[in-house]
Amino acid sequence: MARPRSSATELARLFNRVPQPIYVLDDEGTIVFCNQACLDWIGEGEETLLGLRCEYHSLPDVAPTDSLAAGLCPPPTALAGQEQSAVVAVEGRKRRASFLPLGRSPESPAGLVAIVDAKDLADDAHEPPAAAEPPPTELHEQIRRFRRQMAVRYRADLLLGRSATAGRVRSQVQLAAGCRASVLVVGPPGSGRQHVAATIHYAGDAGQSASLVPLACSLLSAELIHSTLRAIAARTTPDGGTGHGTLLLGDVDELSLDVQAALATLLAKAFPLRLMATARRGLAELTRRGEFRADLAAILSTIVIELPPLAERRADIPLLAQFFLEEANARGAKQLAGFSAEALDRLDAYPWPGNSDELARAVTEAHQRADGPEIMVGDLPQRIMLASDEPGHPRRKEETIVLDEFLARIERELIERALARAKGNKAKAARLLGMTRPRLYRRLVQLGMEEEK
Amino acid sequence: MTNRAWTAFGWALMPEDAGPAHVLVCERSGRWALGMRQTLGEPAVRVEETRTLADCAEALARAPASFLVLELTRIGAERLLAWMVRSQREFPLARAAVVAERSLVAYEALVLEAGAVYFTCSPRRLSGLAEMAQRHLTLAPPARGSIAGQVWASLPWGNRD
Repeated sequence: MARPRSSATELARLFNRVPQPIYVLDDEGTIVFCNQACLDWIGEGEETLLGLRCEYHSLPDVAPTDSLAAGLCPPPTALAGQEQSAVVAVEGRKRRASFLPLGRSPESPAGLVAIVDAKDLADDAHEPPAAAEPPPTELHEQIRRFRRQMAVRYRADLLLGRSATAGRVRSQVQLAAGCRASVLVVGPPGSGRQHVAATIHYAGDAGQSASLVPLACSLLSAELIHSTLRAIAARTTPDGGTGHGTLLLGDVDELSLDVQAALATLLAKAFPLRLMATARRGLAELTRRGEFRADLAAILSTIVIELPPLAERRADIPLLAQFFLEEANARGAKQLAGFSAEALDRLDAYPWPGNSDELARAVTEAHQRADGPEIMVGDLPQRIMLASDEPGHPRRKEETIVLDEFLARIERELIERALARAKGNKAKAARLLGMTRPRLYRRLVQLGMEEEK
Repeated sequence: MTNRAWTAFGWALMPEDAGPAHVLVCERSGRWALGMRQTLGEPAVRVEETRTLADCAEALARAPASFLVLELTRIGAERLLAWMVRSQREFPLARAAVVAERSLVAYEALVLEAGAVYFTCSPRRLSGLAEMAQRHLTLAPPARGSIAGQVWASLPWGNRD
């Protein structure tokens, strides 16, 4: 006579016949059961999934199983006893799931059953009403994915270069990432100041869970800077929320003295965010010239990282150029291996007034032009090809203009365009040019475009 | 940064055929562009509209020092954030502000972290955004090419065609 099946075995058998993935968590969020549909969906065996503890976080740099558990984690309100629907994800594939508390009592459930839809969500499958706020889980997932991407993008080992300078910068970045001291990154435009500051933030402990708050000092008015910083200080607390985040003041050397005074007052008190700043010029020199406040410079400059112009670290150009080439490869179908020796020589000879940003743009342009496996010298932008040729070419004769004739030519063209736009209507053309009709008529006669009546 | 300070860096990054910087709005309906025009007082500042991120990227490639106003939607949020982060490398002279429905105010921190210089949910209160756009355009490097070419490209009522 066959042994009767236990109720647990029978229950598992029933769940395994259900086409939707089902998993069960205990009251600590540990996965204690997965049906066959769930194992098939996730693509792992019971030995991997059972015992995984689901924790609700956005940390990007975790072990694959922890990342899997985070993707299956129910929202905290479900673990607290509320029946809830949420989106779960496995390797970027999202599905809607219903979380049902199993209960000793509603406030303290013994566990949760998660019943997952049988199909992945399409991108436009569930466009919510426009006025509805995104549920906290959706935003949480988006923050999680964003932080993961940023942590990959901004890694200290990606600060490329074999030069002594590049090595020094990497060491300083590692040092800065390991503490909460204020950091000032100084360098010419295009040298990567913002990139270095972001790398410090995402490499540190705070970067994994707290915001980087950049402020573009050259674009904000004094009132807006002040109100923004007051709002940041008011909504952060030292022990939670965005309290471990980073405030990044961009181009801080462009601030006027009155804004600097207000900033110094605000930042002198215990500001809840870590302070970082970028500047085009060293603050010590500006302070000596009376163009920057010494107290604010002191607040912002516990660690100073100086980035030299690209022309002063030419040894790094081949490696940087190859990096930008591979970025261009990753963006499109064309795959190039590298640069010809002559192309590298030209890159080395060019002065790079735009620094790494200009090198990145030049490599992108060359990548678009190239039709062989390598970037050849003829693929480089003309200004780079010609710059290193200058001593070999005779100086061009200076071109001159006759100012009055040049201006008259432009004015004639402007009037012709206005008349064309106005379909010959002189009153309308005059309005387009911001003048009266009689004045337009006088100019037409003076420029020889119409005979005097 | 003064205009003189831009000379070496800005010109080095402006393509030969780059048009002059202006305000470039990417949104579904047109109301944010209308608000910007009213606040900025066009034709003093040119405001160009696009409806998709792809069109916006093409327009930005033609005028790479422009000031962008990008509409955030719930369904397109991640795509917009990723595009903003990538675009900072490709268009280092441009700056972007983000506008959105009030229901998306929770995205403010994320949007700023992705590189936006401003975030607002109010199409009726754009003075701060307009001020920032004007300051950016004042600081932006002039377009390359002939002086006459720059004059034609900056006309608010377009060319002769």
